[in-house]
Amino acid sequence: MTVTEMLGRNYKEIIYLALFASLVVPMIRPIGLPVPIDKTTADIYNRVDALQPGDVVVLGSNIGAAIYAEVYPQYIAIMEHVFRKEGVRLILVDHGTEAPIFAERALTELNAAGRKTYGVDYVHLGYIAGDEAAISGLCRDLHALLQVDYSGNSISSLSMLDDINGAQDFTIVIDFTASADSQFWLNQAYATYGTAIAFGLTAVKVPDAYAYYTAGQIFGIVESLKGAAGYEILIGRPGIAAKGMDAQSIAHLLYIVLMILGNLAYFMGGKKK
Amino acid sequence: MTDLIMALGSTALILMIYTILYRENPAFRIGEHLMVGATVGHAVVLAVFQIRDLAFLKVQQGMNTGNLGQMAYVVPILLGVALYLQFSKAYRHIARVAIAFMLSVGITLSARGLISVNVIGQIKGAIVPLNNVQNIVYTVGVVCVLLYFVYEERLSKAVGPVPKVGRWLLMVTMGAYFANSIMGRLSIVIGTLDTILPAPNLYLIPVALLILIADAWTRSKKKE
Amino acid sequence: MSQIFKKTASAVLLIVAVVLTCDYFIKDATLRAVANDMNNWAVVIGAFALGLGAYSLTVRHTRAIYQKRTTWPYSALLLGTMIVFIGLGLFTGSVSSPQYNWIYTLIVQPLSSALYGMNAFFIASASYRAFRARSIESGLLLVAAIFLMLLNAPIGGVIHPILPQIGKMIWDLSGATGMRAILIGIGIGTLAIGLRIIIGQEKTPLGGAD
Repeated sequence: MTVTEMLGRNYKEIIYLALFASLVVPMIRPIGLPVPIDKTTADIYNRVDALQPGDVVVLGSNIGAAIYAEVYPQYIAIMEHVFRKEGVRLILVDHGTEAPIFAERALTELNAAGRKTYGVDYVHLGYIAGDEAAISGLCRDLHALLQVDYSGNSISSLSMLDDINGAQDFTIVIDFTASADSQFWLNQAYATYGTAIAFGLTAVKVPDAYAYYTAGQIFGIVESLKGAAGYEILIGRPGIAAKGMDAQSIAHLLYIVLMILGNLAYFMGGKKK
Repeated sequence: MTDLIMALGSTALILMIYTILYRENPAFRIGEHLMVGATVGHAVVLAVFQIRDLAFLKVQQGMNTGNLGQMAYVVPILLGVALYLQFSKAYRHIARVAIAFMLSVGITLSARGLISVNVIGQIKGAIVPLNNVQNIVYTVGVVCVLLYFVYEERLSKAVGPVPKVGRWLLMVTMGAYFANSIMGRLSIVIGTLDTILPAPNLYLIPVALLILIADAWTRSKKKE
Repeated sequence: MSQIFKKTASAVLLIVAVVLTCDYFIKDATLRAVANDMNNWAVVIGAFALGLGAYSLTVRHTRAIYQKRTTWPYSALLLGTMIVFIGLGLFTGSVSSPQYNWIYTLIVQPLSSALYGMNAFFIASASYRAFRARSIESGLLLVAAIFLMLLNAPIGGVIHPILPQIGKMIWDLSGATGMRAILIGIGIGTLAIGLRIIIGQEKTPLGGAD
């Protein structure tokens, strides 16, 4: 068999096993490759670090089970950072059907010791249906839109929200999503009220958001697991994201090798295929 | 005990989905249908709570206080119910009013924002001082890509090779999307591996492999 | 009768669009209150829309079970799972109750992640078998993708520091040119389609032309 014939065969099963091995081995035996911290991630860290008592942070979320592995580590890292800031008020709002579950999970994990008081330091508004109309309603007048929070408490009973009516009172909004919802915050909060916006995104959405970042319309992006790993390192709390970067590296190398080999087969085979 | 069921159950379900890499099989179909049923059921639960919290509570409060504005939330409740009439051939036209309302709100809200964010904001971002090579390349580049969107290959004689340069830049952008989609998918797989690699979940992997090997062997025997 | 509703739908489209657009430009308390209510009404209707998929799915799969099609056991499993989730969610009163959380974490989380993640394997196979540099354009795509993968993965910088730098240059170029133009195109395109729908030129979203 010639090299050309060998390269031209279908190695589907071998490729799948090779990819599996390239991910599993570094997870069992970490290599310890240094994780570079992107400027887009560092900008969010610096902005959160500069928050003052009384500032209002809104974490919007469309985290679902499908993107949990990519976006939840970002969400929890930033939430932890906000919790460390004394006097900063946190509002959690969900615009995905699965997001409330992950929001509650993050709160349970980070506030197990009760360092923050519900209704005074943070509030979970829960899921609001209606996509852009929901975010628009929240930015216009959240007291008119919502009667109760996620747990069924009356909005008027939450002292933290007494002087927060809409987007004009939000200091920063950080949205965690994999879909067009990030556009909704830009359209409703940034365009109308000039609210400072940042995103925590899956890798697929990052190219779109980068154009907003270079135009100065958003102040930062946490880019997928890589960004989450960087943020975890910045707050001194390495987690799953940092652990997974070695596997990412080896798997990326495998993809590059496969692409080069596939093209070698193509060019050596006289461009028949 | 529940933790053990959770650990082994999650791992089994992940492995059932990954069997599609071998071939289409009932295990994958079971996993697929479980997921669709669960996701849709979850959406219904949230819909019920939302309708209660966003509409019925307001109507109730309106009736208690005599607030007409809150009582008027009966209208969107009726429109929401009317949405389901689209499944009926006889009354489908009634659903159009509800759809029209939602559509109009959605389009107007997004149009307002898109003008200032996507169009004006991005054009502002593209206008940079042409005092270095990088800025000149970026400005010329964005014009080339926009010309490609407008002209494609049709009027290339009028604008010369400019749309072709735009097409090349678009291909570089597609490369960025491709590279990022790989990173995204790998991140998700790493998340599933984080579930199946710790013991005792790990021990289900050789069990799954044995089942697949036995199936492959049985099928090859049948072919003979 | 249907004509009255069709005309009403067209009128609603236009009136709501005009009110919300005027609200953006004219600062008036009454107009703002009306616009707020319209916005919040759309949110309520959106909540009802969440159940549309469930209705459609239930009808389809019940038919499959009733007609005893070959896939009827899967349909029964789907409907059964849906009923269990609805029952448990409504009975416990919250999607964050321990029982609901448990069954969600057991079923939805692993299945959803695995279904999305398996694409990584298909992309790997396609990278070898289908990703060919047949022309200048596909060659550019291939080269850009390789350098950007070396930027995304920490190993790029370990192999040679120049590799992620080249990747960053390509990333910045694509962001400032292609991505920017795509966003401008999306903005203009959405505006055009939106205007067409509102003035009644585009009737497909409302169920087709009269």
